[in-house]
Amino acid sequence: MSSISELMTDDHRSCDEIYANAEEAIAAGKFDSGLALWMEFSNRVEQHFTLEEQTLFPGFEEATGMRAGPTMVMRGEHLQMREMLKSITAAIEGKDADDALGQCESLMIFMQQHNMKEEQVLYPMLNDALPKEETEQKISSALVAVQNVTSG
Amino acid sequence: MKADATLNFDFVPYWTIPYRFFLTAPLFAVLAGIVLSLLGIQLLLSEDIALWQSRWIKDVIFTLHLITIGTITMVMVGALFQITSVVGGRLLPGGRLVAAVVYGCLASGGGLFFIAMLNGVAEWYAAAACLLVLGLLVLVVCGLIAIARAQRYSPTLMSMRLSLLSLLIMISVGAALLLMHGYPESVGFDRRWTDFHLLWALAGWIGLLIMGVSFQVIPMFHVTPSFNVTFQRWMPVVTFLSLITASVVEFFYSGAWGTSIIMGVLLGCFGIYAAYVWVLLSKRKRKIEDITVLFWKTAAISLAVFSILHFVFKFDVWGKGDQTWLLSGVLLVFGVIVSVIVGMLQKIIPFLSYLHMQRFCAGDFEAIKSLPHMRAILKIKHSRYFYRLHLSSLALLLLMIVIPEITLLAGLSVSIEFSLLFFMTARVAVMVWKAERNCLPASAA
Repeated sequence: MSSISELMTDDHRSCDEIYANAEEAIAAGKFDSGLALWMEFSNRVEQHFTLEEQTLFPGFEEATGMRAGPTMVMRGEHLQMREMLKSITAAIEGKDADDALGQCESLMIFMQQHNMKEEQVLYPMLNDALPKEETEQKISSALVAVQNVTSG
Repeated sequence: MKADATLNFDFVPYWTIPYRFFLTAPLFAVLAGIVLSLLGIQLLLSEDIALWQSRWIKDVIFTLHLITIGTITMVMVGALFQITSVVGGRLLPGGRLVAAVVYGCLASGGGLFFIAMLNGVAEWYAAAACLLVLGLLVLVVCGLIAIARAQRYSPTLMSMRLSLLSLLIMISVGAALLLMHGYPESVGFDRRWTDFHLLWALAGWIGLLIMGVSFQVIPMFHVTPSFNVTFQRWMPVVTFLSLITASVVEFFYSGAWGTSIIMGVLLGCFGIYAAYVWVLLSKRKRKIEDITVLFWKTAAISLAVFSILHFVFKFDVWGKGDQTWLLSGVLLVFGVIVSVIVGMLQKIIPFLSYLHMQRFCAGDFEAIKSLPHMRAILKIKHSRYFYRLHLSSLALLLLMIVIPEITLLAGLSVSIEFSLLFFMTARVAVMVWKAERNCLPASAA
């Protein structure tokens, strides 16, 4: 079975894929399909954040006693990205391609540096701190459930 | 301890530190363009002048240094201040004072160098050399201290350390060359040191720094897979070892075959790196237009053509040794290095500006929402024009070596290209300055 780090990193990549499709559709002026893809991306990101905030981070904080450390920083960045996602949704709904793509670019850069911090620092710490089998099982079932919802 | 290469955005130098370098660099390129234009006019008005016949003529050496010191080194130093803090979690010691000293020495040294070029007074050259050497030495010492104190291991930091060591070697040899120029009767002059200086400047100082920085910025800016960890760890070291071997062999041995083999190994290192960058960029998920990718690809193609020309020169296949050397020089300096650094600036400038403007908002979501987005910070149409101008400058500079009569056109193209880059950078700097003034209370600014 894959490690916690691999499962969560794979989910980042899978979200990037949907993001790229949404961005391509908006750039081509296809606002309806762009919005549908964007909503799919937003839902996937939200589920990813929820999995981290409600399952992984509390487990890590419990195991290590580190409550004001990296998990707090990541929670703050999640809040900021949620605001950015909403603002981009409004720009796509308003069919303003330049505004939407410009904000997408800002979000993408923000998200990539956020992902790097998680993949290179936090996830390896989660690997060490959390019970392996049980956590991996929780992640797998949460991600499968998300994929079923978004593809269905 | 876990080896990681995370980026630490909590340690970022004050925004004006990198910006002062990024704003000054285009101005030196504009000056280089003006110098070329003046040379072109002289050539058109007088039949006595012969341009681009030899790598040893004064005009070639001076124009090259305006670009390598004034533009390339200026941008690389600005990037170094930024990336050392972000990757190593340590600001360069000395804070704003060291940044001011390094910048002051480089800018005034570069300016004096330009004046010396115009009036030919030896004392101006000496003063320019002292300032440039002092500024770069301070940078090397502070950079190495910051890397030694870094909070974590990172292949980027290793590459930067090797790049700074190369800079140290390059400065020492450069200063010795100036002494040889100034006092040939007492010191003597040995042209082999010129190639030694060139190798350490281009492959060591600039090449290794670009390599190290790209390990971080390519996956982040272009959403590509990361560089392989083993590749990141070993490629800078192997390149550095090949550079030592190549420079020593070139110095002591003049046979074409022997030096070609060892130079082939060094070029091979950069060739493999360039091919890897190309593969990663072709795997990027985003399919929308990205000007920086075009700059990277221009650099990779220029490197491939440079490698071919290098061997054409080595074995004198074309029969025009000096012209082949100059053509390959234009390809390497302008086609490879300048393309990479100005291409990276198209991402670094909006990214840094957005990052700083967000910090000014101090977590206030409403204020963050009102910030300009990446495409409003650096307009894509400006970047598009800039890339086209860059291609035109590259083509004209290459043609200029074969047809010197178009030197004026090449100079004008370079001047216009970098005037646009200055305008683009200055426009963003004003935006950040206004955001800081509007967001931060006066006491925090």
